[in-house]
Amino acid sequence: MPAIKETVEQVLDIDVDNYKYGWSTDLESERAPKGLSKDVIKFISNKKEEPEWMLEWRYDAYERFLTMKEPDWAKVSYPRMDLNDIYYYSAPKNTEGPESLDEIDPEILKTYEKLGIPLKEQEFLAGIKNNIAVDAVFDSVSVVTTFKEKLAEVGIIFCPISEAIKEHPDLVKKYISSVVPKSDNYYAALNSAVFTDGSFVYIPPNVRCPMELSTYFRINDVNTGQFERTLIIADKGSYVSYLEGCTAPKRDENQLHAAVVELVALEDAEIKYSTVQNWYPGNSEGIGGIYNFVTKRGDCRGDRSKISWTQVETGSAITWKYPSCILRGDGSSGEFYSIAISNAFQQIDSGTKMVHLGKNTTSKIISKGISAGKSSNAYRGLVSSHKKAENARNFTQCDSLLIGNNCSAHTVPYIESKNKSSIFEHEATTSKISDDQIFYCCQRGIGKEDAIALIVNGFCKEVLQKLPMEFAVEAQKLIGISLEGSVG
Amino acid sequence: MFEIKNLNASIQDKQILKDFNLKVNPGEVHAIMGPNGSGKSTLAHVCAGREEYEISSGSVGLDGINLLDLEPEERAVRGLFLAFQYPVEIPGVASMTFLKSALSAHYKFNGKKELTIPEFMKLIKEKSNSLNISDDMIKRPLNVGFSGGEKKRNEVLQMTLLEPKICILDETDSGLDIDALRLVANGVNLLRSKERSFVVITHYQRLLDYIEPDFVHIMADGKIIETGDKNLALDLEKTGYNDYIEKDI
Amino acid sequence: MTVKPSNKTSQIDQEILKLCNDKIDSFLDYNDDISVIKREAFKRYSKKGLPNRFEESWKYTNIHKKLQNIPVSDKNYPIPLNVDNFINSFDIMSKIKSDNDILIVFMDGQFIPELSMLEYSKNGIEINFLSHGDVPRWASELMINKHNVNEDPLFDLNTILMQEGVLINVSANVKIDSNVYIIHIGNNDGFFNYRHVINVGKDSHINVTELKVSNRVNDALYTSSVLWNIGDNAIVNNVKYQAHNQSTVGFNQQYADVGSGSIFNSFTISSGSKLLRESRNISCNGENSEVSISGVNLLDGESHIDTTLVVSHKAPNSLSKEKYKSILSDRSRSVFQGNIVVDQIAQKTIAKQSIDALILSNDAEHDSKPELEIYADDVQCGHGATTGQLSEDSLFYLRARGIGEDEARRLLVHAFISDVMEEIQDTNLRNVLRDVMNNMLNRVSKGRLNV
Repeated sequence: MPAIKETVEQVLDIDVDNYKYGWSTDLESERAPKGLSKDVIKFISNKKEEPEWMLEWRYDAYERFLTMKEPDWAKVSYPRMDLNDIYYYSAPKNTEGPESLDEIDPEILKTYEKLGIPLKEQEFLAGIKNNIAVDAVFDSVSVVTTFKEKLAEVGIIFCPISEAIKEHPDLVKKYISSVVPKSDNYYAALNSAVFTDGSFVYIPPNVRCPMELSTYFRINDVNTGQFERTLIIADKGSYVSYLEGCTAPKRDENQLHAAVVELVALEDAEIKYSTVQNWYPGNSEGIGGIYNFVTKRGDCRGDRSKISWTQVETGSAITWKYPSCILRGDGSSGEFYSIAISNAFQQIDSGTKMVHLGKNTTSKIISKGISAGKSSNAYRGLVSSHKKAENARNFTQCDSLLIGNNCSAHTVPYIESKNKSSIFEHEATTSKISDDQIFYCCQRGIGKEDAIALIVNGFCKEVLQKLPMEFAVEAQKLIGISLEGSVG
Repeated sequence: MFEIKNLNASIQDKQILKDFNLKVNPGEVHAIMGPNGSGKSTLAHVCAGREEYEISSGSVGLDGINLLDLEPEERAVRGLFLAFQYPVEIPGVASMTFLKSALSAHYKFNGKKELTIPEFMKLIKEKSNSLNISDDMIKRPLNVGFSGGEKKRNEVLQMTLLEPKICILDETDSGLDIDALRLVANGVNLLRSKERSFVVITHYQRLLDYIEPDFVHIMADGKIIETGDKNLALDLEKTGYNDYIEKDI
Repeated sequence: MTVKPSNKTSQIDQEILKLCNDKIDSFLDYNDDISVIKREAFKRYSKKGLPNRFEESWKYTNIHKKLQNIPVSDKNYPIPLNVDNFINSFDIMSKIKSDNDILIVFMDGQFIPELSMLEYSKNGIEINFLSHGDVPRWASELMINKHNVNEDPLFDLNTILMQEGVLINVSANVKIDSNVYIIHIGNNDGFFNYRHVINVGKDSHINVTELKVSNRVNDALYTSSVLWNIGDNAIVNNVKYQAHNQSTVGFNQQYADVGSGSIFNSFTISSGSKLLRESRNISCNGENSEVSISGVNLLDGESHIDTTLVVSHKAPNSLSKEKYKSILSDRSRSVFQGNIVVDQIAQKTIAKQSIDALILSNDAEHDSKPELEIYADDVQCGHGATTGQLSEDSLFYLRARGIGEDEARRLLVHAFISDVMEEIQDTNLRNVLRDVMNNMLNRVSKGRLNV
């Protein structure tokens, strides 16, 4: 197996140090005192000029958090983080409540330009770039939200969540923590206590959001945690497609990212949520990188509603993430499409939960895991049907691909059926790229590295197809980049 | 010109090719016939650069360059094409995508301007029609779920597109019914030209009814033991390999 | 050695701990291998106690819900009189037993020589009993090895309480066509603990059939562990048939170490039981070994059957397949947890697992967790799991051809388990068991299965 052997050797030489987004921006920032306490929570709440009820809400979450333990069931191992050694709030100075693009620190704009995020509305309007509305979150604050006015014309609210708390308290009160309760899990409780910013989206009844909504998250400052909170509500008969991207600079210490994302789809509404997660994964020795502990959950609250998660996970030192669907409404449906690539010392434990509660609910899971280097890549998923979930249907396909002999792939599905009319099908495979496939491509003139990229892209195809066009291209390139690193 | 000189190759300490020699001038079609285990397929794979084989000595020259020094993909873009006996399935990768990648690599090497998508589509359509390859087949994942005949036609389509100098056909007739065989052979015959040469490896004579060779070689135990014209193949069909092999011994 | 039961534990925890405590006292003064591991097992067990649902591998099975007390015998039914009567009283036995088989019968935790037939235990098969003292060296070594790596408290419990069991040593190069039957009969109420150890020498072929049946509606709790050590190039066919009443609680453990080039086929049919936990740990220790683990579970009433299976590939080029089918009716619950572990060294492993459940009742529940844990890259591993009811389309198709609904259901239920039965290698045994299954399944009607 020389071809593979060589590939493996190339994998071992991975240049993960070549993280494309690994520069940091020199900005003066304003921080909360280090550590976690009621005072820090109050500091954050004050900074955000939150109403009293929100502060109380945070305190309540904090009390609950104090009684909880860090979970240890995932197939990841890492030194526990000292939560008192983190800044829970860091904001670039001079960016409090920017009114327009002109008020934003040009350094930040440059950062986003480097990241390839089209922030400048004029470019959109001139039709130069794609039509995407963007909310950009830099460390702890949202620095700019584009296209707000245009969206407001059709009644869509797209703004930083800190703003929504002030401007649309009724909506926030009604829906926040209605999908992910404050005490849902350790990280969700922590997030509820200290979340700093994130996006808020409300789509009014029967409105089809005219453009893709997008948030870019970036951790820039040293020793900061990023705790964003996203809340998306699709009212009856509405539709929205939402994209999320993330990057962070190279730092030797681990940084914590503990986000909570809640989606609510009412009757006949549809939410499509896509993520390309490319947090800094740490270097080739496993030093540094983001701890990505995220709780994402969608509630198909209304009949015939639909929530679809698509994720491309290539970054982070540790990923702990299970975007889930509660299929409450009759005839509702949930989908989860995932590509998870792990390399070097990365550890991924990711998957989904499809909880069938309503009648005639359907779900589909397609998961593609690729492990290389010394990484560990686990799919963990739950499919369950409640007694009343007559005719629930699930189809799950989990495929793992191993590149090299020092990595591992795990599949841990939980399938729970509590009624007779549910039909669940689960399939999983583990394989490697065969020497024959590589040789065949090479014999047609395609270089080894390109051949592997081609084969891996083929392996992931079903998922790539589910991404919005703009993202699909980016994701494909990202796979290429991770593979460039991963196969020499 | 394609020339194999004193080639010795082994796998897992078992010597397969023993001082193998073959010279193919541009435009010539050489058939290599031989019993199972004579080393025919090894010859094809060693020429194309399969890495399992240990090559102790010899050379495989194409227009004066020793291919043995090159990676498989470098041999390919220089004009060596191997039509596989068992074309490999690659799930998720559409034939179209694969053809585009392969063609781009060749164009890049030859300093040619890459085709635009419409040009590429036009080219594919044109070439695939003559091989009775449907649009649907081109869009399906490479060789996945293809019938034996479809796989071999797809090999010929690739050969047609990549315009190699030397084509090695490894048991292209295996697993084909007579109609499929005719279709594949026609495809090959259309490609015959003064510049392009072929090495046709086969176990049976019947392929040579359709692709008429200039020379027929009989291979046994890692080397050529008899060379003749197309009549040699006909004789062989009657007498079987044993006569030749015993004669040699 | 005294351990105080903590206040937090439930009645059953306290009762079992007390029983162990009493039992272990009689081993305190001895230093033979068995006494030593019993004491060690007790030390471990007393720290852990019975597993609860917070432990990952017991997530779906709540012992405490199914078991509140150790059953105590207040009556004492005598054993059936003679071997022929006994065999004839069990339909299945009368059909499969042939003249030169070896029959080892246990009842309520005791070996019953009157019902057993050991005459054919010559020609390289050596049979001993745990209760006879003087456990042979090979058997105690195998027990110590398992004991040292064990993490299952129920295995420790079995070690502490094991009272009887057969120790079978098959020499190298022994090939027998006949069957060795190991039979457990539940006759009276009580708590019984069996430990069997089977060593198969290299190049030997052996068929072992285990039968576990309840003689009457008794209230029994048992643990039973079978330790297999299979030498190189051996072939072992193992079939287990267990049909218990709805009040029996059983914990079975099977450990098998399979050597190079060996074939191990193990097939299990389980039905009934209030609670049955089948823990199976199969390890492909040598190259080119082949393992097939399969079975059928038929559940009705309040039955809870949990199959927890780990297949470990520890050497290159081995092959394993697992195939399980469960049919559930009434308020029954089945659990299947199957993990395939492929070590880094075990390149070229092929491992396939399929788990299918047919749920006939809306009150039944099936949970499955088919895991893969892969540390080698050049492998082909996969699992498939399906859960569902009879296909309405198929039912309709049959009925449209004039077949009555009940008959149509029967046909489809038969079809559901048909292929897995092929895994039984012995054709005679397969046919008999097929008949037994068919009889059970024939009672399926209107979505109910009367086992």
